[in-house]
Amino acid sequence: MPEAATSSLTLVPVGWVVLAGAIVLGLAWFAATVDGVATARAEASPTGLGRPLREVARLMRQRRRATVEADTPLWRIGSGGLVVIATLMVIVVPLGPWTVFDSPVGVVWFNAMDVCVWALVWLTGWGPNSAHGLVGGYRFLAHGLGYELPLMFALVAPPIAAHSLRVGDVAAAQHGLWFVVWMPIAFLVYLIGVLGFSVWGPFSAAVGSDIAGGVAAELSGLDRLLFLTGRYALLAAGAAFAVPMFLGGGAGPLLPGWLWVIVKTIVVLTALVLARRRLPVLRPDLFMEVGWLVLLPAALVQVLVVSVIAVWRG
Amino acid sequence: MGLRRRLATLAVDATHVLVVEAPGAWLARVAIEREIGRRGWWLATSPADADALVTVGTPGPQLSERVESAWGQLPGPRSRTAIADHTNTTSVQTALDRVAAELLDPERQIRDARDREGFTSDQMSGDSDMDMSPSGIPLAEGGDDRDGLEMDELHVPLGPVLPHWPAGVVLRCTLQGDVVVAAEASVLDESDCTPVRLEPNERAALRCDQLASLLALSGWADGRAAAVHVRDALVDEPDTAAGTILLDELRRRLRRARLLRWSLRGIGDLRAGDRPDTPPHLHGDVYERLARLVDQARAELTGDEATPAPQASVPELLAVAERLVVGLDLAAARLVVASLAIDVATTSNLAPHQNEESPDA
Amino acid sequence: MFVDVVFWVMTVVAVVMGAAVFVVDSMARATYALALSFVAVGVQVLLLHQDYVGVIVILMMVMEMAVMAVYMVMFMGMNPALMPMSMVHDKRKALAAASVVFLTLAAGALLIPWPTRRGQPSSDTTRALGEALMGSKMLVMTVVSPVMVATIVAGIVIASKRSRYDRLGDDLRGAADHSADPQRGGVGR
Repeated sequence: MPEAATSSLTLVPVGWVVLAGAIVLGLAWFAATVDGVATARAEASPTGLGRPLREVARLMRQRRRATVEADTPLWRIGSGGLVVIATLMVIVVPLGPWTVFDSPVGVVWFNAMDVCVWALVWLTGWGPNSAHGLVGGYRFLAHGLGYELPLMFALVAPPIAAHSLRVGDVAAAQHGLWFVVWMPIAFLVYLIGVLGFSVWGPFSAAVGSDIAGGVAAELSGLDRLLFLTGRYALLAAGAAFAVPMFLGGGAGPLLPGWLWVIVKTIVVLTALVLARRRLPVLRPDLFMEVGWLVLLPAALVQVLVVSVIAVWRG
Repeated sequence: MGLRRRLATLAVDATHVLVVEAPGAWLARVAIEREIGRRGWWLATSPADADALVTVGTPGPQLSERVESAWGQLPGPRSRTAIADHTNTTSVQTALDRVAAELLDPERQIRDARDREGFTSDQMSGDSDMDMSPSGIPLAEGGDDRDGLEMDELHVPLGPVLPHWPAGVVLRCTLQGDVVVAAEASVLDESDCTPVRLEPNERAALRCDQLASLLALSGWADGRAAAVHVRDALVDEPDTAAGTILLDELRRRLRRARLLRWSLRGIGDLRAGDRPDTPPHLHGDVYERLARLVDQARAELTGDEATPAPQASVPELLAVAERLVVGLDLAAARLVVASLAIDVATTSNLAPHQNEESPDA
Repeated sequence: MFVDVVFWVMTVVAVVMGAAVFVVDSMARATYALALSFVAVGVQVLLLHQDYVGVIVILMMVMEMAVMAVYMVMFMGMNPALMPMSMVHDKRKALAAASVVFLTLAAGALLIPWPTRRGQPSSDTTRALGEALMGSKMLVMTVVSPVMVATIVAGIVIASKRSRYDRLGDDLRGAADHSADPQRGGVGR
C-alpha cells in the first residue's frame, strides 16, 4: 500500500471522529446561543442565553408529524443528514497537531461534502409532499447554482499557493503571512459560500417566512431539531474550515495550536451568525446573476493573481 | 417523573404560537405578539412549528373552518385559545398562562393525542391507487409556462392562516414551479366585516405593522424589529411629537439599507401610464410603496392634510394584487401583496361604494 | 482487512442501488438511488488510492443528481410519491440492449490480457494525475474545455424560446418595457 506524500500532522484513530462530532455540536450550540442573545437584544425579550436549551427541550417533547402521501424515507434522510455532513466536513480540519482524516485531497473532500447539502435540503423540501416545502427546495438549488462555482474557485486559491490539496499543508504554508491577507476576495467569497450551504441569513430563502418556513414548513419534533442543529453545525464546520485555509491554522502566540484553532473558529462563527439579522434575504433570482457575473469573475481573478505569485515564488 | 416535568417546564418557556387574526382585531394581535415577546416565546412560521394556536377577534364561519384545519396540523403537545376584540393586558396574560398550563398538563395532552389517533390513521378516501387521485389529492394538470414549455399547475391558496399575511384575505394561486400564473383574491366572511375606527396614533401604528410584515418577508430581521418597536411605541403613546421623531428615525434607517433597496426594486411595478384608473398612492414598485408606508404613518399621526389618507377600497386593492402577482415568483408575489397594505377592517370604511358591493349580512 | 470489507460493502451498495433505480416507483427515489450508487463507486475509487478522482466522482454525481431530480420532476409531475409510476419503459428492447452491453463488457473484462504492474505507483497520485493531464495531454484539454462550454451554451440557446434580445432589447441595454423581462437580474440590467 503506497503511502501518499508525507504530512506533518499526527493521524489519530478513527474513533476520535466522535470527538469531532461532539466539537461540531458544541460549536452549533454556541452559534445558537449567539443567535438567541442577538434576537433577545433586538426584540427586547428576556431569555437570550437559555434559548437553545429551551428549544431543544421543546422539540424533544414535540411529536413528529406525518403528512398525506409523504415520501418519508427521503424526508428523514434529508432532515437528519445535515449533521452528518457537517461532521464529515470537519474531520479534515486539523485541530492543532492532530487530524482524524488526513486526506491528500482534503480541500476537495470539503467541497464534495458541501455539495451533498444540495441533495439533503432538496430532499427535506420534497419529502413532505407540501407545496411550500417544494418551493423551498427549488429555491435552495437556485441559490446553490449561484454560490457554488464561486465557492469552488475561492477554495482553489489557497491550495495553489500551498502547492497541496492537503488541509494540513495549506495551514502550514501560511507561516508568517496568513492567506486572508493576500487573498481577501477568496476569503469573502468563501464566507458567502458558507452562508449559502448553511441556508443561513441572506441565503435563507429556502426556509423563508414568506413560504411558511419553506423546506422546514412541515418539520416538527425530532426532525426539526435535527434540521436546525444541522444548519448551525454546517455554519460551524464552514467557520472551522476557514481557519486552516485562510487564517493560519493553529498559528498564534502563547496558546497551544488546538486552542487557537477553536478561538479562530469561534470568531468566524460569531461573525457569520450575527450576519443573519442584519441583512435581508438575497432572493435567488437576483443573486444568480450576482454569483455568475460578479463573484465568479472576482474569484477567477483572485485565483489568477495567486497563481502568478505562486509561480513567481517558485 | 421529575426530569420529565423539568423538561416540560423548559419546553413551555419556548412555546411557539401561531396567531390567526380575524379582520379588525389587529390591536389584539399586537397585544398578544408583545406578550409573546415579553415571555421569550416565539411566533410560529407554520402549524407544524407551533405548540399553541391563538385566534384573535371573532372569526366568521369561513375563517373558523380554516382555523380548524390548521389546528389539526399542530403536532402536539398543543393548546388553543381565543381572544376577543377589545382586550386589556391582563386578559392576554391570562390567556397565555392558560396555554402554558394546558401544555404542561400531561393527562390533558395524552387524552388529546388519543382522541387524534383515530383521526390521523383514517385514510381520506381509502387506498385507491387505480384512480388518478391518491389519498384524495387530484393530480396536477399541465399548462404552458411563460417559456412555452408544458408544466404542471398546482393550486395553492395563500392565507388566511399564514404569518405576515393580511387578515381575512385569501389569494388562490395557480403555480408552475414557484411562478404564479394566475391568481384570484377574495375576502373571507365578507359580509361579517365590521369597519373599525382607529385613533390617529393607532392608524400610524397600523402602517408600521404593515411595514414590519413587509420587512419580515424581505428577510431583514433587524429592520422588522425596528418597525415593531416603533409600532408598539405608537400604540402606547398618543403623543405626536415623540412618534414623529421615531418615524423619522425609521425612515432614515430604511433609506440607509441599500441591500433592501436592491432586493425590492422593480417588483410589482405599477405605472400611472399603464393603468390610469389605479389610485396614485399605489404607483411605483415595492420599494417605493414601502417608503410611502412610513410617510403615510407620519401623515396619519400629524393629521397632515397635504398627504391625504389612501383612498383605495378593498376590492380595488385585491384587483391590483391579482394583476400584479401574475408572472412573479412566490417570494416577489408575497412582497407585492404586503406592499399594498391591505387591511380589510380599516380600509372598507374609507370606501363609500364598498357597502353597495358587499352582500347584506 | 477493514479496507477489503468496506470495498465489498460498497460493491453491494453500488449494484443494489443501481438496480433500485428501476425498481422504485418515483422519480425522486430513482434519481437518488442512482446518486447513492455513484457515491459508492466514488468511495471504491477512493479505496484504490485515486483520492482526487474518487472525491470528484462523489462531488460531481451528487451535484448532477440534485439538478437532474429537478428536471425529472419538472417534466414528470410535481407530486412526490403521489402517483406511483414505473421507471421502466419499452421493457423487451431495453432488456435486450442491456444484456448485450453487459455481456460485451463482462467478456472484455474477463478475456483481455491485463498488463502486469511495471514500477511503483507515484507517492502522490493526485500530482501524477495532474501532470499526466496537464503535461503531454495539455493540447487535448485546452481543446476539450471550450468545446464542452460551447456545447452547453449552444444547447441552452437552442432550447430557450426567449433570448437576451427579447429580454434586454436589440441593443442589449435593457428593454424600455420591463414587462418583456419577467425575471429581472441582480446586477441592474
